[in-house]
Amino acid sequence: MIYIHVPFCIRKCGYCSFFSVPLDRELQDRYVSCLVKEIRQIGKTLYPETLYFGGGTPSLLEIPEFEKILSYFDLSHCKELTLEVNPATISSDYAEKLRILGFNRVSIGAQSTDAGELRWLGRIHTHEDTVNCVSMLREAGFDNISLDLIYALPGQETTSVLQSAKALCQLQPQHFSLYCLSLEDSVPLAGWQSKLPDGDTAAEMYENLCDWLTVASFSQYELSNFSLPGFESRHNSAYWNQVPYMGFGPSAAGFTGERRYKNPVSIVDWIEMVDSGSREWEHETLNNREQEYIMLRLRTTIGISFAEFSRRFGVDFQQKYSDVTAFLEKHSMLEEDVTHARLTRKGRFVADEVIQHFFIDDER
Amino acid sequence: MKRKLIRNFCIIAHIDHGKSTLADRLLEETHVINRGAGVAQVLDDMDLEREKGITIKSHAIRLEYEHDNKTYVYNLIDTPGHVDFSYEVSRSLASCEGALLLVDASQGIEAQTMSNLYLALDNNLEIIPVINKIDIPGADVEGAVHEVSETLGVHESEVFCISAKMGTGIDSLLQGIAKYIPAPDGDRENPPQALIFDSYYDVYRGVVVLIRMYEGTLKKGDAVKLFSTGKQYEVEEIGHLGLQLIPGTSLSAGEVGYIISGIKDVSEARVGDTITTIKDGCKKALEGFQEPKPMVYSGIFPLNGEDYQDLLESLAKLKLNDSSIVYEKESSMALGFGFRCGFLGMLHLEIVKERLLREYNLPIITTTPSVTFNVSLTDGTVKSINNPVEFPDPARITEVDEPFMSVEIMVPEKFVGNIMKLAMDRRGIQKDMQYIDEKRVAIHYEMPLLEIIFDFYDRLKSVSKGYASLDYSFLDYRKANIVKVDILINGERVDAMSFMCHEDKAYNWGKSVADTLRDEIPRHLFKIALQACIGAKIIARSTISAMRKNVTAKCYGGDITRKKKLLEKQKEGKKRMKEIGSVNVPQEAFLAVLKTNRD
Repeated sequence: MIYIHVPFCIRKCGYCSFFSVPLDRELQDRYVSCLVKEIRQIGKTLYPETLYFGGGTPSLLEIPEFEKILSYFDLSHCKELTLEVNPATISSDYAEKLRILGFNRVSIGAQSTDAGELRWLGRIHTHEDTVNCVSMLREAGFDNISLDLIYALPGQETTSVLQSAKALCQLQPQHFSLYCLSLEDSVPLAGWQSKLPDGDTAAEMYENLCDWLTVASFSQYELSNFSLPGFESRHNSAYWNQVPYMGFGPSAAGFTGERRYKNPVSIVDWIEMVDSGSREWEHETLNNREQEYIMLRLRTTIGISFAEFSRRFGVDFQQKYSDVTAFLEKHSMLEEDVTHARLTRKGRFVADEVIQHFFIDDER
Repeated sequence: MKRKLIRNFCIIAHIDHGKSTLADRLLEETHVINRGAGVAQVLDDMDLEREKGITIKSHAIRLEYEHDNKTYVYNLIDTPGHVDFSYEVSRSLASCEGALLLVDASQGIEAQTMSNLYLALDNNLEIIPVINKIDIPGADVEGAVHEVSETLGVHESEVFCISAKMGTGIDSLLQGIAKYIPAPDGDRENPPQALIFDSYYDVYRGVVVLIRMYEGTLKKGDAVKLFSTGKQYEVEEIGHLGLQLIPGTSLSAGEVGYIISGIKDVSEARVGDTITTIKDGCKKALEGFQEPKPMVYSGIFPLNGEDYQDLLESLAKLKLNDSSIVYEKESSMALGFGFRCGFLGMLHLEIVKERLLREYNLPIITTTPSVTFNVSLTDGTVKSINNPVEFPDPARITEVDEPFMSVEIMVPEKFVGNIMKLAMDRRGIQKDMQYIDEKRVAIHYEMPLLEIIFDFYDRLKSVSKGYASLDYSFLDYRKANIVKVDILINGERVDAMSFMCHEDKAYNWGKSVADTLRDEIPRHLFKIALQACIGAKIIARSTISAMRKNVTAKCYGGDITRKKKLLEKQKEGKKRMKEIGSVNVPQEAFLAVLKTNRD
C-alpha cells in the first residue's frame, strides 16, 4: 500500500495540522519531479493493492501530473485508488478524467453543511459546492464516495451536528469519517482550545452521531469511520492491521514491519533528502510493535484476534494481559469472546485512556 | 581592650523597616565595607533570607568607631525577625546592653517590634528610638516620633531620625550609641562565663560558636565545658567577628566573639547555653536557657520515592546548621518513606522546605501540619500526639488537650471588626484591647495554636489590608473537642491526608478537602468517590464522574508513531502520580489539600 502526500492548499484551514503550503505552480513542478524521483529510488516497480493521495489538497494536482505519477506504478493489482478532494476544486471534466486514470474512491472534505461553521473552520467551499462535487463525481462514475464531518466545534449544539450529518447523508455517500475537532498548539485556531465543548458534550455528540448513522444503515468499523457494507476503506484498514506501507512526499511516513521512516516536514528539506538518496530509518522494538498493534486494533470494531496476535508476537494475549482486561471489563470498557477482544461502545470515546493500560514495559 | 569603650547592641525592627539597610550603613560609616562595593545587606547571608527580606539566623559583627579621640568597639548583634524565632531573639538581646528601636516612618510600631521591645526592656537594655525612611513620600515623621516617644516615655527630641538608604543621620546615631548605651559590666579576672547566642556549621571548620563574655577571660587552648550537657572541649581558635572570622588570643568580660572547639554539631552548642572553663570555672549558668521546642509537626516525603536517601542526608546537613529541626523516620501508605519533622513554627517549616528544594534540589511533599495534643486514654495514660496516624480510637480517649497561645495583634482601629471576626472564627478568646494612640489598637487573645498555624497570618494580613501585625507565645494546654478526620478515595484511606481538628470545623474542612480532590484528581474510566470520615461516620463527600472523552480522532499512517508517543507520555504522567486503590492521584492534589480553605 502506498500513500502520497500532496502538500498544497489554496488556503490553509485554521484547525489543520497536516503539512501544507500555499499553492505555487513553480514549486508544484519541482514537487512532482522530486516525487517521481523518490518513487524511482525504490529501484523496482511497485504494484500496490491500495494507493492513496492525501494532503494538503491533492485535487489541486493536474490530470497530466497524476498521469505522470501513476505511470511509475503497476496498478494491475490495485483494488483501491483514493483521492482526497476539496469540494471547491473540481469540475465535471476533471472528475471524468480521474475516473479514466483509474481512481475508484474519493474522500471529500465536506466537514459541515452549516455556512457559519464552514467559515469558522476556514474552508474555501460551501455546502452547495459539496452537493455539486458529489453529483459531478457520481456522473463521472464514482460509486465509492466518502464524506468527512467535523464535530464538537466551539459553541456547537448536538442538533447542529446531526443536521449536518443528515444533510450529508442525503447525498448518499458510501462512507463517513467523523472527526472530533481537536486544536493543536501550532494551528491558527489554537486560541479556541479552551472554548471547545467539554468532554461530556463531545461524547454525547459522538454517541448521537453513531446512533444516527446506524439507523441510516452505516456500520461502524473504526472509531471515526463508518461505511455501507463492503465500502470500508481498504487502505486505512491496512494501517489498523499494521500492514507495511510506503509513503512518498514531504511529511509522509513508511513502515516495513520492522523499521519506519518519516520524511521531512518541509518541501525543501524533503527535496534535499531525495537528492541525497539517503533516508533515516528507525528500528521498532518487538514490544513497541506489539503495543502499537493493540493500539491500532482496538480502534477497530473487530478488535484483536487472539490467534493473529499469537502468530505475530508469539505470546498469548489473554494470558499476558489478563489483569488489564479484567480491570477494563469490570468497568465495561472492553469485551471478549472466544476469538477476539474489542472495545465496548462505552470504551470507544475513551480509547486513548484504555489503550494506555496495555503499555506494560517488557524487555523485548 | 578597654571594657569602657565597648558597646554591645542590636536593632529591633519589623520586617521591611530597614534593619539590614541600616546595618549596611553602619558598616560603611565605620569602613568595614566600602559604600556600594558589596551586595546589599551584608548580614543576611543566605539567599533565602535576602529574597524573603527577613533575617532567619542571627549574626554579629564588630565595628570600630573613632569619636572624641577614642576608638570605640561596637558589636552589632543581628536578630531574627520572625515570631517563630522569639527564643533566639531573646538570647541575642541578652547579649546586649542596648538596642536601636527602628521604626518605619510610614508604618509605625508593629506588634512584633512591640513584643521584642518588651523583651529588650525585660533584659534592661537601653533603648535608642530611631525613625527610618524619613526620605520617602508618605513618611509621617512627626507622627512616628510622637508614637515612639509616647510608647517609650522619652522626649521627642531624644528620637533619632534617619534615612538608612540615603545615609542621612547615621553619624549622629553612631555618636548616640557611644553616648547612651552603657558599657558592659563584668570583670576580666572573675571565673569565665560566656553566653552562646548563636552558632553555625562551617563545612571546613566545624561548628563556630558565637559568644558574649559576661565575666572573666577565655583564651586559646583553654579547656572548657558546656553547662547544659557537661561536655568538654578545647578552645582551638578564639577571636572577633568581622566580615570574616578574625582569630585572636582571648576574649574578656564584655566582649563579643567566637570560638571553635571541635564541636561537630550545632545541636551540641545550643543557643542560650553557658560556657566556662573546667578549671576555676564559674559555678552558675546564665539564666534563660531553654531546649528548642518544636511547635508544629508535619510529614516530609520526597516527591520521588527514590530520593529518600538524599532527603535523609539533606535533613542531617540542615540540622548541622539548624538545631531546632527535629525529625524521625515515618512511612506512609500513600507517600512511602519519609520523615515526621518538628519545627519552631510555620515559617520555619517553609524555610526548611525551600532550602531542601534550593540547596539540595529535593522537591518534597509535606502533610497537613499539626500541633502536639495531649491525649488522655481510658487506661489512665497520657500520650503526646502530633501525627494523625497515631491518633487513638475515639473510644479509648477520655480527653484531648491542645496548646493555647497568648496572641497580640496590633492593627489600625478601622480593621478591629474584621480582626475580631477572624479571631472568633479561630476560636480566639479576647482578653483585652488597648489604644496605642488615637488610631491604633492592640488586641490580646488566647487562641489555640492549631488555629494559628493554618494561614492565620495570611488571613490577618488580608482582612487588614496588610496593616495588622502579630505576635504570640505559648500559654498552656486546654481541653478541646479534637477529632481525627480521614480522607477516603474510592473507599481507601489516604493516611497522608488525615488531619486532626476541632469537631466544629471537621465538616467544613472535610468537605473542602473532598472538593479540592475533586478538582485536582483527573477523571478516570470509572466514577471516584471522595469522602471525609470521622471513624466510620462519613461527614462529607464529593464525586468525580467517569471520564467520557480521551480519544484521537485521526490515526492513519503518519499519525501512528506520534500518537503512540503521545499515549506513552500520558502513561508516564500517570506513573508520576501516587496510585491509591486504582486511582492515580497527582502530586498536586497532595499540595492542594494542604492549601485547602479550612474556615
